[in-house]
Amino acid sequence: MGRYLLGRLGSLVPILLGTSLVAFLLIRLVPGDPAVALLGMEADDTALAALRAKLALDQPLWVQYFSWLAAILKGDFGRSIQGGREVLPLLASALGPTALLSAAALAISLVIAIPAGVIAATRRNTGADYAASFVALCGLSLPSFWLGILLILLFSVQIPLLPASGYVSPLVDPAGFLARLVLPAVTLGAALAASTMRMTRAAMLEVLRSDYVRTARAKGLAPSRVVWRHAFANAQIPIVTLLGIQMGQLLGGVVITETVFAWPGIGKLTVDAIFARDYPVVQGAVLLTAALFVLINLATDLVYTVIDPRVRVA
Amino acid sequence: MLRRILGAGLGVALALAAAHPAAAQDKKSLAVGIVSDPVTLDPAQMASFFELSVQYNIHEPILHMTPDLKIEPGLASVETPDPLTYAFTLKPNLTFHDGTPIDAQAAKANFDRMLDPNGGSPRRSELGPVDSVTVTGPLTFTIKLKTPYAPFLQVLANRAGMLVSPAAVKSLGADFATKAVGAGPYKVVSWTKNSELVLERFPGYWRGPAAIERIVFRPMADETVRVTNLRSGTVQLVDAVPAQTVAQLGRESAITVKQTDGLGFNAFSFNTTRPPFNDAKVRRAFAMAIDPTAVQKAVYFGTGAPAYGPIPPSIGWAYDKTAPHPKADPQGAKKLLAEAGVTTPVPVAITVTNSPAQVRTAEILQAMANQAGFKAEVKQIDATSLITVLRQKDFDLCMSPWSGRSDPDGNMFNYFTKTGPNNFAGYASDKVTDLLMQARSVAAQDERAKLYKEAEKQIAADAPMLFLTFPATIQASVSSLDWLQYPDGAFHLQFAKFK
Repeated sequence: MGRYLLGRLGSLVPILLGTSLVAFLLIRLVPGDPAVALLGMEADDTALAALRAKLALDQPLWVQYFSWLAAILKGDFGRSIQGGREVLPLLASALGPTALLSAAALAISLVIAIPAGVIAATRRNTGADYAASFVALCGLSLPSFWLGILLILLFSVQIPLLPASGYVSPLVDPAGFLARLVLPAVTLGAALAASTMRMTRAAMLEVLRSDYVRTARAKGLAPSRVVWRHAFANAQIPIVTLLGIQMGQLLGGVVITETVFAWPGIGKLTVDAIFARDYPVVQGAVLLTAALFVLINLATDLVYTVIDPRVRVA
Repeated sequence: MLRRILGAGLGVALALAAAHPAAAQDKKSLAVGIVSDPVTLDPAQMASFFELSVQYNIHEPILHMTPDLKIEPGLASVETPDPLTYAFTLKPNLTFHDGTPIDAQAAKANFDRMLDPNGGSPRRSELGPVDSVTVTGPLTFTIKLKTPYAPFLQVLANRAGMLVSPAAVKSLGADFATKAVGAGPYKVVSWTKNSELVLERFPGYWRGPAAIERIVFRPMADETVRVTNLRSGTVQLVDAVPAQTVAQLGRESAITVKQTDGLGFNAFSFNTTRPPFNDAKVRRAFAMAIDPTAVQKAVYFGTGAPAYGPIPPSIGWAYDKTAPHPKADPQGAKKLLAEAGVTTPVPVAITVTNSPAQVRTAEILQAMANQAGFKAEVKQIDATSLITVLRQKDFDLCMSPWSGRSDPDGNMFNYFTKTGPNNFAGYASDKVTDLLMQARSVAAQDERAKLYKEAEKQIAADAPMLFLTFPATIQASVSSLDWLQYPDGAFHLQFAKFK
């Protein structure tokens, strides 16, 4: 187990090196550079040249790459070109809100999707199934910017229950944090719930057809016990896989939801950085996201061994 | 079980709602919805349009410009014994937010910092003809120019005139950009990227402490989101209200919408350095095919004004009221193309950024041009690519909008002089360059107005740019807020108070 973990964590090194190089090169292929983005329309050539020299953008590419890499090995991710904040604290301060929002959205999606998926599977081709599938289709099809604005109009403008947008740290104001969390988490959770519900339904249908479920039924076990203890327990693997993928995607940032609710997350930060050609922030964000993806995959694999004793890690 | 969870959830939601009435309003604190986070709070480095919303609340220029574009004393008063000499006297006993005294030495340190060739400050080109800054007393200093520069005082009422604490510049280093210590009505408390910039009023402000104690700027990129947040009371003042919502918001009694003529223009540059637009006849034919009023109606919903030149009506003394406003004339355009001897339809690309308003504008141009012997396609790019495309002249016709300045020089010199940094068209007219040089160096306003009108006439004949609209500045607040609107859209919240 320890060796397995070490091996998996060791694989992080080539993955991160690879992504760092790709991120470094791709952002430089886009037209425009940080100096142009920063100084804007008015800039004259002398000001641009001075800024490029200050940012070491006039150095050869490989020099820029290796000096960036060398700095990172020392824990120095550099400073944002737009505004001069240190990249690592900047990313960390944006990752927190995104992680909290993601966790809440996933929790909401599970509370909706698991019961709905199980009901749809056990009452296949009945009204309940069609209703659940229809709602899931709606959840998948509703664009989050639209659902988000609709929720704001309903719960902040028409019935002023919740703040329309913003973020406060849960450490500073827990109640205020929760109040601001509800609408974006529901917006995001709705879309996630749809695919989780479909996945739950498919996995349950598969398992409900298997021999041991028929045996369990034949033994005369209570239907709820058959469904939850025997069937659902074995339908969890694909659901956990999907959750792992969803979590990875969410942590990469949920730009639209973050934008609609002015939630200071990593998605908007990264997209803004790309538009501004803020090289250090883009590169740092890509590295961080890649590392998180690998770690979440690892965590998913470890969860498999918990929910299915047949799965072993070597 | 499920019912219990749902019940608990509802309970929590109601408890939260009780603890946080969404529309809580106290008169001491104001939340403002702005389009984007500022990039930097250091006035020497500001280069984006988005800093305009916050800059005057943190920083104080040595001169102040009123909403009707008049210059009055700010931190200092000024005398101009001759067109090359500006003698400033700072108000006594003032300090920056950190307690550092505002004296002539501090002012000089600020100008030296902005003029430092290695500092990369965009202010350096704005302060262009400054020759020297000399301290003449504890509170007096003199700026000498190399050549007369009529818009100089306007420039000093903007970013180039904002003084910051030299002590804080030294002690904060690279963090100065996010913590900025100035002399404005409010000082920076905290700034969380993409979330909130919190300001607290500065008791030592020269006009006396502001009425509102605390201001929170909250970036909301989406225009619908900004308006919705205003309607819910989450913010009490918003910038950049979309034109299509003006009519609806105007009917809501809890909301006040304010509109004023802006300073900038929405225009396109013709690439005069390559076919087909290297021929003035082809450029004029394209311009003839376009009706700016149609763009103003379809894209700006009738707000603002159609543009036929670079100087907007808000600069009343220089705006040419008599300039012709021709309607679209596709037949005349075809005739001009025939005279130019080009084969029709003439293929041209219209390059715009991918914002809805710009794409809509491009599509209208496309439709009108196609009726007049052109075959136009629309190319969409992102905002940073735009600047590169313009500078490399990699376009036929490309949007080059300008946020505008209070002096006509700011709307024309960089665009139409031969070596101007915003002369994306590659327009090389000795006559216009001379006129604009002259207009910059004479002091009398009526004489300057004559020169600008003459330059505008020549520009209309040569058509290096296609002018479309002077967008209005549209902002809105809750009705209980009393505030001043400025043509450039900048907020000066020292003048704001709740009724």
